Amino acid sequence: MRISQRLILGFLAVAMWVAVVGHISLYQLNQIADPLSSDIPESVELISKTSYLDSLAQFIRYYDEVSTQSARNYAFTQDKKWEQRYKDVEPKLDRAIKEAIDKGEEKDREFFSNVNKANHALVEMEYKSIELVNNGQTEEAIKILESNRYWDQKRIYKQGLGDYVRRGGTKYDEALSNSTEAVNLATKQAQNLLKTSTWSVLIFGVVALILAVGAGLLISRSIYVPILKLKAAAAEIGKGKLDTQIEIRSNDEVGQLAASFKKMLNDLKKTTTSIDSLNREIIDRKKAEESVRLAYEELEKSNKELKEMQSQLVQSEKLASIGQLAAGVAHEMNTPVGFVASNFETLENYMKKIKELLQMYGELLEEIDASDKTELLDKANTIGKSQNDMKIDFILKDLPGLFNDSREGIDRVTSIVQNLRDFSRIDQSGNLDEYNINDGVKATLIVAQNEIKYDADVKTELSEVPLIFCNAGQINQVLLNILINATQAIKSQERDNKGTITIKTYVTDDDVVCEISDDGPGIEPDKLPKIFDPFFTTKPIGNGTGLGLSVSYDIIVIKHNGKLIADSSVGEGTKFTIKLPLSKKEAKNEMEAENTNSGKESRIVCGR
Amino acid sequence: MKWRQKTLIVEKRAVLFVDDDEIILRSLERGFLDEPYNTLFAKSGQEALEILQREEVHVIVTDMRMPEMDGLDLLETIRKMYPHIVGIVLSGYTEMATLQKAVNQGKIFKFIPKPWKLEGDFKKVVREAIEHYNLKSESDTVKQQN
Repeated sequence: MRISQRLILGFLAVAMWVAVVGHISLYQLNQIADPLSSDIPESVELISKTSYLDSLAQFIRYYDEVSTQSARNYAFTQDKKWEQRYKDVEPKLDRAIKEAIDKGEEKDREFFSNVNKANHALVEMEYKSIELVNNGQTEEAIKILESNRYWDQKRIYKQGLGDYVRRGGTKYDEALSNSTEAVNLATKQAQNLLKTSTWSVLIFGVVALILAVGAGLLISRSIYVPILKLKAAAAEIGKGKLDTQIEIRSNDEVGQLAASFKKMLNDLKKTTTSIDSLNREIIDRKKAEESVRLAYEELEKSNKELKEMQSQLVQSEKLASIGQLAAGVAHEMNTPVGFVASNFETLENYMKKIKELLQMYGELLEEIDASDKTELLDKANTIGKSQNDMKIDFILKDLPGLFNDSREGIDRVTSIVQNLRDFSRIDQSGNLDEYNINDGVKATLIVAQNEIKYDADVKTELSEVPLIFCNAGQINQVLLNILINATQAIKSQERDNKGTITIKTYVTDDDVVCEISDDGPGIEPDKLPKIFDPFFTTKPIGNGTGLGLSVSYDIIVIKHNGKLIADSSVGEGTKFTIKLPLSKKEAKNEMEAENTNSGKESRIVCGR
Repeated sequence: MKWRQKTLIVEKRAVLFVDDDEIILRSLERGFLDEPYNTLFAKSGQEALEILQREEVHVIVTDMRMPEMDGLDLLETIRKMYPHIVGIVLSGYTEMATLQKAVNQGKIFKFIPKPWKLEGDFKKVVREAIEHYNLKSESDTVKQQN
């Protein structure tokens, strides 16, 4: 039940009680008032009526006296004022009688009707007398007024009125004593009733008070107990105990409040839950961020390691190409060193023989004076035979050849060393030099010739090109790389005839260009985009690091701001185009600065 | 007398040197000047095969890397056509793969790296090759007699 309903009900109960009590009190008061209101007014009215009628009767008597006397006086005096007086009073008398008939009771009315009749008769006679007087018949007028009939009537009239007045006085006294008695009785009754009703009112009042207090207590209890519970629950919730149970099951406003509170609590729980989940999410996210950060650090670390490894690998690629180069150079040198050493050994042998022969000739000279001719001739023959055995003729004829060949060998070695130095220009400082790409091609070819010559013929179409600033050793490394790749590609075909490698150099508006094309097997279109990737290789394991072209790309595109383009068509061959930007001396520093930062450009075009 | 006989046999023997570099051939010619066997020289595999058609050759010394017909091809051809000829390789390439091929496919007797030493090494190997040839032909003769 709602509080308002409960309050209304409580108030209603109290009000009803009060109403009942009031009604009872009213009833008792009525009991007191009833005799007063019924008896007393009745007697009072009777008294007043009687008194009024009495007074009317007195007036009637008076007016009657006055009118009779006026009429008599006029008849005797003929004074007009008495006529006037009569005519003034007579209507008043008439009216008084008529009023008495009206107000009076049955009995009185009857009486006054008789009075009225008598009055009419008298008045008629009196008006006749006045008329006679006015006509000068004074005597006739007096006769009428002195007539028996007139006086009889007058007597009846007077007696009747006197009786009435007497009777009225008795009646008045009777009514007065009656009403006094009634008042006394009523007063007595009222006092008694007041005594009893005071008690009952007191008792009812106390009961009403108890009732009101009880109802109030009950109602307020039914209101404040759940509110207290709610308050306690709110305090609990305030402490964070969201699982607090609210045991309020009333249907009133507090119940609704509790329901709302529960709903709010549920919402709060949900909100708290969502906040919790949000918190968890935040924590999770932070964790995720942390792990991402760790992963990123890890990644950076691995990236760093990878870079170190890459630089190591680039180094090892360099070493590998140097090794390859060294093997080629070694073989190239083995041949001249081989025959020079062999010739040197032979020369020693030749010299031994010549020395021996010269000794023999010396001995012969010493003996020329002492010995005889025959002996000398014998000895000369022996020397000649030895000379023959020693193949001195051949030796003497061969000596210039031996020296020439050996010089040639030494020249070849010198040339190789010179070219090797030209090729590599092993100054690792990264300084830029004036570089003629044609010289670079030549130096590289000499170094690589031994690798190439058994598998391919090299055709060169070198045109006049301006000098450019670049790291000559690095560019030559790229040229060697591409040439060796071309040779190996041709060799892999195991063809009967030699392949052809064509090297072209020319200059455009912006670049010095070097094209190296082969008629080898070509690169498959799906592999072409990968050739500059580090570690991508099609060579058997151990034969290539997969870094050659990656390093070449780095050198041309990144370090020299140039372009390295590969075109290939399967079955027809591959063409590498190196484009190095033309540079002026002033641009040298700028270029050195730009060496480290330049974007990759599209560089791979499939097909021809 | 026995030694003399042997010497005679050696004198009748012929060694063919093959290299695409003529300077090598010339240095070998003067280097092997005093050796008791005949020396023949060819600038290519083809020339070597031509000589083999004309002359009796007992030992062949060849370079590995030569244009057109390389040492291995030449040795394999000789293995088929003149199975009795003892093969020696003289090469600057000392990689395992090259050596393996020369030994397994070329069935060579010895391998001499460039640069070489005439006395003690090269000449000794060639003599051994000739002796190897002699022993082989002797055993062949015995086999035939039996």
